[in-house]
Formats: sequence, structure tokens, C-alpha cells
Amino acid sequence: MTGSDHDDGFDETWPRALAEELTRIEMQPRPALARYERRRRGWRIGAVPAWSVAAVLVVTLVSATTLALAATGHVPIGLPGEHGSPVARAPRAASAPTPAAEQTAPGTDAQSLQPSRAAPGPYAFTWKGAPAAPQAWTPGPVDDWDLLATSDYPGDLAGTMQAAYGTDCAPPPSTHQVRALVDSAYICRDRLATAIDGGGDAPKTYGGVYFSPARLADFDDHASSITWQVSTRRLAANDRWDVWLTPFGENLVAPVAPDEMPAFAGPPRDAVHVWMDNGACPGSGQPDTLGVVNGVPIGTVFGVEVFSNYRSTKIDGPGFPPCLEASLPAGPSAGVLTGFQLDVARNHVKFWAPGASKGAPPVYADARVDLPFTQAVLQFAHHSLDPGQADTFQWSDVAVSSAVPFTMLRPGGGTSVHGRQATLALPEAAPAGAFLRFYAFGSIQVSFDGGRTFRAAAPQQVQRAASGEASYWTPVPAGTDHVVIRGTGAGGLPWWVLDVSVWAA
Amino acid sequence: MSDRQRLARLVPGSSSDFDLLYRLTYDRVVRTCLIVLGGDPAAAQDCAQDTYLRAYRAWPRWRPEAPVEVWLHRIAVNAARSYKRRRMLRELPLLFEGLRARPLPLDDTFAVMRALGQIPSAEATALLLRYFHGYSGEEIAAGMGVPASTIRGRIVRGRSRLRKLLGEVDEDASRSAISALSEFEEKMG
Repeated sequence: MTGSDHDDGFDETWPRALAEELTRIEMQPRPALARYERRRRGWRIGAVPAWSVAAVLVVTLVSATTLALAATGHVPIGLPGEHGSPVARAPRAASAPTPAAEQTAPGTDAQSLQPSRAAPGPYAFTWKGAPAAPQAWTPGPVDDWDLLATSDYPGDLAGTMQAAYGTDCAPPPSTHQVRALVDSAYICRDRLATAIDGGGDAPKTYGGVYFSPARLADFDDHASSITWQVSTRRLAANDRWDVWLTPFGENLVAPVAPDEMPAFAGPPRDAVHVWMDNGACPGSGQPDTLGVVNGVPIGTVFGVEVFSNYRSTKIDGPGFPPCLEASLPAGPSAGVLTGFQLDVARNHVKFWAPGASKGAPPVYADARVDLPFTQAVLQFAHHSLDPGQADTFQWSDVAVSSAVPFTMLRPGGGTSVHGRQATLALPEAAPAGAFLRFYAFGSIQVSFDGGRTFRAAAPQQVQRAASGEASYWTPVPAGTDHVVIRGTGAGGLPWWVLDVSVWAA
Repeated sequence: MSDRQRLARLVPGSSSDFDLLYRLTYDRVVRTCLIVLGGDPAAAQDCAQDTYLRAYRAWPRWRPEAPVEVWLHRIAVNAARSYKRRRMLRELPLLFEGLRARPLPLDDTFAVMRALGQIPSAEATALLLRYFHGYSGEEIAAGMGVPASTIRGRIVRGRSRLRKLLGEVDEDASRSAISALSEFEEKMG
């Protein structure tokens, strides 16, 4: 600072003496990151009420318009294929039919935690279809995929956005307009595309698309490798994807880590979670769309954490997290998909990008763990957090090296139920130990005897708190072939049920 | 890559980058808290936790014109001062009961910490950032949001006060401090 600062060594002596004094004060060990995260999350959750109040005000203003639009909303039509699904999938494992008369007492949460006893085997799947226009993806009604698109409020619209692929499915950079939730997951050119805008004219500042196959990753006494392909070009730092592995009985329809979105029910009790994040990427990144900080381009990195009884432990890889873009041979691309892999065993988790093959593939997590579960629902999600310019991710080639099937029944018309009492026909009678699963706003009642008697739908017990919409997980009597749903709204908003299905393992 | 290089790459709002910020800076932040709080280790750790909670709230809005660690130490000093104010309020009834002789947590061998506690907080902060944490005057000014000339003034005044205070310690304490310093330097090689 000045020429006299170092004239007599005083400014070197006292800091050293101070350092010595500090060493004589006995300190507790540095708190683990988990302690810090719990407190951090506590603050985030604490911020929910004010945020929610603001959101409700916004929703109130737009709800009348939205309801009118929803009444004329898009109705998805599946492409030709098994059960109307536009997908190619592995043959369904045989399951013994359950006599309709075989009524059982409602299951318990503990019952739903029992692992599937089906023999594990490989599972491979990709989306197939070359429609003349973007075709809303409608999973098949039996043992195919679960799909939810939500904007975290009672309605069927998100923000208006320009999504990848033209109106004739011409590849990117061609675009077409998307706003309805049912159009947020669509097929073009043998790929699934997810596009949802949680900003702009969306009623709230969040949009999410969640999809899960009717398979449990199985890693009881061996490892299971889960692989998938996804596009790497990003238009917004606040559009990201993540992957969850959750025990069957603890699965949430829309798990969202508290750091990402406090309004939701939080993370599952136990899980493995992989999420896309932003990092500083000298010499790579995607500065034209994600921006530059301090002259350094922003790009893509990934984090991995394990939840055990709600406590998160972050897993590191070897060294500083590498930027994905630096390892992509042709740079980030909306046309070329890149392969990712999650290797899971009871005592080990590794997440890496073998498809990023420029040099050694980046490894984002590789560590010993102690997972409290050995089978898991596999759930992909695309989150849009008020991104400015919403993004499209393209997906293909999902595979699980060791998987067991579970029953997933999706009734026709179960994508969005609201307004009046609705009766939904299941494609097959529910087996024993089944659960009715959906995502809903308001107070919801269900009937399994044709509407003669109703009971309150059961919120998924493991979710921490629901600010509005919540995951429901209600035991279903064996043999049930129809479900009747009705509800009452809350706070001046209508009741709304999304993504109705019946699951059993 | 040095910690400073890593810190220079952090992206505001990134949760993983905030985790990295925590890992790379915690030890130094808790030392800042420890100094400002007069050597109370439990309070210093609470102060450090509070610092990161405050920083996390502001993390998306942080603008990297200044070193992120200077920004963090500024928050830490404010958190420590808030803690001291709260502690004084809690102890106020005791003062009225005549229990003024609250024992100091530091004995005479902690000459530098005690001296730093006796000079104005802004000057002590500037000295710590300049000579203990090693940031330039310009970096400190950017991090504190004040002109560089203000920081220069604080350093000059603070240094003068510190020199005077350390010169005024009694001979025994001086010998003790010098002896401890010699041992420390031997230990550090």
C-alpha cells in the first residue's frame, strides 16, 4: 500500500504472532459439509411461505385465463405401437392375474418397501417414431413409462417457448411453439424431447418434466449400470436435468432437491441423486448462451449426492469437477447425443460420461457409499427455473444392466383430472400390494368401488412437506379396475390431479 | 491449481461452486471470526456458520469484481459484530448487578489478538485482510465497497494503533509472546 508498510518487519512479525496465537486456541474439527447443508436447506425451506404467498397471488391472477385455455387444451394421441405407445420396449414380464374377488386389506408403507422378487435382467429402451409433426409422448397403459409434466400450480399450461424441432420435425435449430404441459414431452426423429418453460408467461417460476420406466434398477448383490443419451447444447443456465434413484416405497412423483426448488415436497428419504450444475470452464463451456463470469465461460458440471434418512452426503470424483464441454469431441450439440452412465452398487456409486470421449471421459463421482436400499425407481427429470430462454433436452437409449419389472398401470384420461368427479378405467385389474400414485393440488378423495364409498387420498408419507401440490401414494385393493377421483380446491384455486397411475412391485 | 485460482473460477448462484467455496475458505473464515470474537471458539464456529448462511442468501447476487474471499470475510466480520452485540445485550442485566468483572477469555500471552480487539473494527478488518490474509489494498477496497484511499487510511491508522498497543504490553507478556513466536517459527521450519 505504501512504501513504509514493510520498513521494519513489523507487518511480517505480528501476523505470524497472530497465527501462533490462533494455534493455541482449541477448535472443534471443521463441521462436515452435511451440517452446513442442513442449515442451508433449513433456511431455504424457511423461505417457502413468503415465496408461496407470492406464487398464490400470481396464480390467482392468471387462473381464470388458464382454466379457459385448459378447457380447449391439447389431447395427446399415441403413435401406433403396443398399447398405443410410440416406443420400442422390452417384452413385458409375465405377471399372474389377480382374481377380482381377491380383496386384501389396504397395504402399508412398510409393505410397499419390500423389494421385488422378480429375477433381475437387462433392460433396454429407446423412443421410436418419425411423425410428420412433433408428437406428444403418451406412454403405454401397461408397464411402460410414467410421465408427469407440471408447472407447480393447478393448470395445464407452462410458459410459451420455442422448442427444438420444427413443426415438421425438422431438426434443430428449427423450432416449434410449446405451451401445454402435454406437449412438453414429444417424439421427433426417434428421440424423446422435453421442453418446458418455467418462466415468461408461465403462472409460476417453475416447470418440470419427470419420466420413469416400469423397471427397478437392481443392485442387491452386484452392481447395476444405468446408461442414457442426452443432448448437450444448453440455452439457459437455469434449465437442467437430473436423475433420481429412489426405493420403490419412497418414490415421489416430483422429487426436487430443496436447493433447486423449495416449493416442492423436497427430496425422497433415501436416494441417489445426480444433477446438472453450472461451472466455470476456462477454454470451453457455452459462453454464448450460458454467459461469462470474470472472463471465464460458464459450462456444465455435475453433482452427485446420496440421501440417507433425508441427510445428504455429496460424493466427489477424482479432483476438480471437469467441465463436460471440454470433453465433447465436437463441442456441445443439440443434434449429437452424449452417453452418461451411473454405476450403482450397495457400497459404491460412480457417475461419469463415457460418451464425452475427447480424452479421458469425465468422472463426476466415484466413491464408496452405504446405500440403505438395493432396488430403486429410476427417474429422469428436466427442470426449468425461470430460465429466460427455455431449453429442450433430447433423450434416447436408456438401459439398465440389472433391472426387475414392476407393475405400472396408466388409465386413459389420467394425465390431468380436475373440475368434476372422474372415473378412470385401469387397463388391467390392480394386483395385490398396489398403490394409486398421482400428483395433486387440493384435497383429493378416491373411490375403488365405483363411487359408493370415498376415502381421502393418502399423501406419500415420506415427503417432508407439501406447499401446494403433493405426491400421493394410496393403497389400492387387489382387483380394482376403476378409480373414481374427486376433490375440493384450496385457497380459491381448483383441485387438480396429474399423472394418475397404479404401481405395484 | 491454487485455492485462489479455484476461487476465481466460481460462478455466482451455482450450488456446487458454493460448496467448493465453503470447503476452500472455511478455515480462514473461522479464524477471522475467532479474532473478532476475542478467541471464543464456540462462538467463532457459530459465526462461521452464520457467515455461510448469509453468503448463501446473497450468492446468486454476488458480482465477482472483488475476490470472493474478501467478500466472505466482510460478511464474517459483520456476523461476528452482530454476535458481539447480541452477547452484550444478553449480559446487560449482569452489569447492573455489579458483575462487571467478566473474565477475559484470552490471557496476556495472546498479545496480538487482544490488541486487535482494542482498535476500531474497520481498521482491524483492513489489517487482517491486508497482512494476515494477504489481499491487496485495491482488492480489499473492492470487497468492502469503499474507495482504496479509505482502506489505505484505515491500514495506516490501524497499524499505528497496533504498534503502540503491542509496544505497551508489559515485559513479561512481551517475552511470552516472543517466546511463543520463536517456538511457532521453529515448528513451521
